[in-house]
Amino acid sequence: MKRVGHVLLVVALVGVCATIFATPSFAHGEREPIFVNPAPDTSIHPVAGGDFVQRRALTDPFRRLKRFRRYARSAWRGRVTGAERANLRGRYARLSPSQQPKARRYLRRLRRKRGKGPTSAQVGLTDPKMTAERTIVACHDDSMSRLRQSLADQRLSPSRRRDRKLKRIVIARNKSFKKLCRYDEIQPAVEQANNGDTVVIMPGFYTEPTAAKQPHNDPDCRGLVDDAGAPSYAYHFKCPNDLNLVALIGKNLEGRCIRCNVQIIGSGKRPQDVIIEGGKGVRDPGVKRDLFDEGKRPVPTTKEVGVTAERADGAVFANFTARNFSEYGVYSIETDGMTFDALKLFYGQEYGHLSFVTDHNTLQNSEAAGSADAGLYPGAAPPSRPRINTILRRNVSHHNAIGLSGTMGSNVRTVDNVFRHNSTGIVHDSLGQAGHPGFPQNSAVIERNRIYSNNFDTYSDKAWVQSTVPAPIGAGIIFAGGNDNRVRGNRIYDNWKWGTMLISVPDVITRDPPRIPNELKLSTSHRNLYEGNIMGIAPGGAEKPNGVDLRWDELGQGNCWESNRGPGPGGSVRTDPPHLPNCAASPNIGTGDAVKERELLDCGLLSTGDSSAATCDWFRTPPRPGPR
Amino acid sequence: VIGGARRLGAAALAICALGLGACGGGQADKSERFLPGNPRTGAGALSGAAQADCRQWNDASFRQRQATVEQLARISNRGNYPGQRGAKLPDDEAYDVLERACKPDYAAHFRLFKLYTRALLPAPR
Repeated sequence: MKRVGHVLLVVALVGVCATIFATPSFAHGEREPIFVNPAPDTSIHPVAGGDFVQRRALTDPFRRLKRFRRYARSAWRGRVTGAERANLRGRYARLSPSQQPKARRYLRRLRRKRGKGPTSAQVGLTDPKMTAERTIVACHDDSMSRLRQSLADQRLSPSRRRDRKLKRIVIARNKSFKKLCRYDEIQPAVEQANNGDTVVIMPGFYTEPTAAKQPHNDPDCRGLVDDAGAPSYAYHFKCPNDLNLVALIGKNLEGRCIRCNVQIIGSGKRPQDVIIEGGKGVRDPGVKRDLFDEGKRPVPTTKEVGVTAERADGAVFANFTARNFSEYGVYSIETDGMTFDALKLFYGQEYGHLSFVTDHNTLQNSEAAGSADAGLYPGAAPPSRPRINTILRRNVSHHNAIGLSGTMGSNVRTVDNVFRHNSTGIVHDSLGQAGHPGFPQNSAVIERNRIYSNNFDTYSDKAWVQSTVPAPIGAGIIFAGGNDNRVRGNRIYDNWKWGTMLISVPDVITRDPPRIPNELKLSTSHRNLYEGNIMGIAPGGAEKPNGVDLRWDELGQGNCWESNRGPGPGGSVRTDPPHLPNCAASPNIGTGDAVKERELLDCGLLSTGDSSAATCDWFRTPPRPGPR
Repeated sequence: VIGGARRLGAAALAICALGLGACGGGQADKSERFLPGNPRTGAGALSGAAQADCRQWNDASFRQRQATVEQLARISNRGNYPGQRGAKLPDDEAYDVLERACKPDYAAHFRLFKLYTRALLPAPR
């Protein structure tokens, strides 16, 4: 194995071949992306960014003042603590501009009456940076009837009485929203938003005809491309619907927050109640539980992107469905503080979700399916080591070419998700040639996920999702050039080629910095750890073998595999090479394997190898592996 | 980034002939498509090239393919990323790469642009 004479060849071959794993990334940035400053923007209060963002509860806006008063009454009994003051400030910020003066007057009266307690100014309510929250509502005529129909289809609580009560609350809240409704399209509602506002989308089928009609390559914005010809931020500022059906543009051209801390939230009981539709001529499916048309091919689209956040620090997109967009369902770029929650992202024809140079980024409770590249894509996450900058949790990604992909997806924590029925479950890589800052990818944590049955054919004539990127069929997790990643406690089974694969990417591939003199330097594929994973065993204990459980190209230092358990004798796993180093191994240096590289080379589309060679079976569904 | 009007026109024609857009038909929706990262001054030909796939490559004539390679070179050489500045593949090499990469049936939907950016990587010789 350790034929040092092969090292140079192997390094070059592996590097080239490694690229076939990668999700090409040019599509992701739209100008030279910049990492956002992860510090909070204190020009407004509550501050924007600087932390992960919580989705606000969709409370009845007419009742917030009452609740503020009730809280103030209880807090003003004795000494008002710091926590109570902070709480009060938070509640105050959720009041509308017309409610805030009433709240201050109430506090004045309260103070007079009780003869004690701080003034509004002392609590910080008169801070000129303080924002108010307007509730801006988009609705359709049938919003309430759709809601009722949807609720009739659901049980919100096992107890019948409680179920009725919860439904009454949801309906009452939506009735309040309906009173506030001024828009029948989402984009004009978003454009009306200021810092701290909430845009509520009531149940309905939104095709956004006005935004959809906005021209591509708008002549009004032609002069706003950057030096390289790419649309600049100013371009999107002026022509927000050139690419996007709905665009949340967070800052003005001087960089000041104009729509920070804006949350766009569907007011239905489930994401399927609000459908943001990008398909041309697609009919309203009505109220349905499942909006993913499994087995159907993608349809023509009106726009590239469904809902976008650009420099919109503190944004939340929640509780809606975005489907049929030629690029991405939802997208964030250069945003500090971004939460995607409870979304259904179907047929984002490149990516369901895409975040790019976004910090304090959360994607949770969502489902992505039908993407010809990756369902979920946290790319170019900031190199914030050791701080985790992106969290993906409780998502399901299925029927995509890749379930989760992230070039330079560093410091991303992927936990409690399900990746199933994709061609490849997860890919993280370091291929920077296509414009991702943050080389090398590092410090991702993948834990407690279920990664199974990723044998989805996206290549044959019969494929109804047709991959735009070469990703092998039958792979669970692939790291193509990354350092210090942790893969632990996952359940990985029924992936017919590999459960996991670790492969290096020499610097010559990444060209970052470009054309360094020592092109064969190996900066990646070091110190990666695979531990405590359950391989080839489904929940319940049934054996569902992977082709190979743990595979390594045998390049890189300090990589180790420990305490992984399979269905074999004594809990053994299938590995390639047969013996993988454990974490106590010293020295722990892999120098590559020529035979393995040959296979990789034959599958490398851009190598001198013939990608249609008989030895390359990566794009055919592998045979189901037999039991041990 | 964009050359003269003549060149643009020729490129647009080539892309059009490739079925990448502006010509209506089954791929009509793609005519207006471009990746957010792509330059799109001009007639949209570049965007078409960025979205073109191997099927279209395989159906195109020699001249159309050449024009597409030029377009892809222009897109990828726009140099707005630190790791990408100045990256350009000789046109004949790019042509060969796309020919080879697009040959297998399974590659039918691979984006030419994605393949091109990979081709910027040095192949072992």
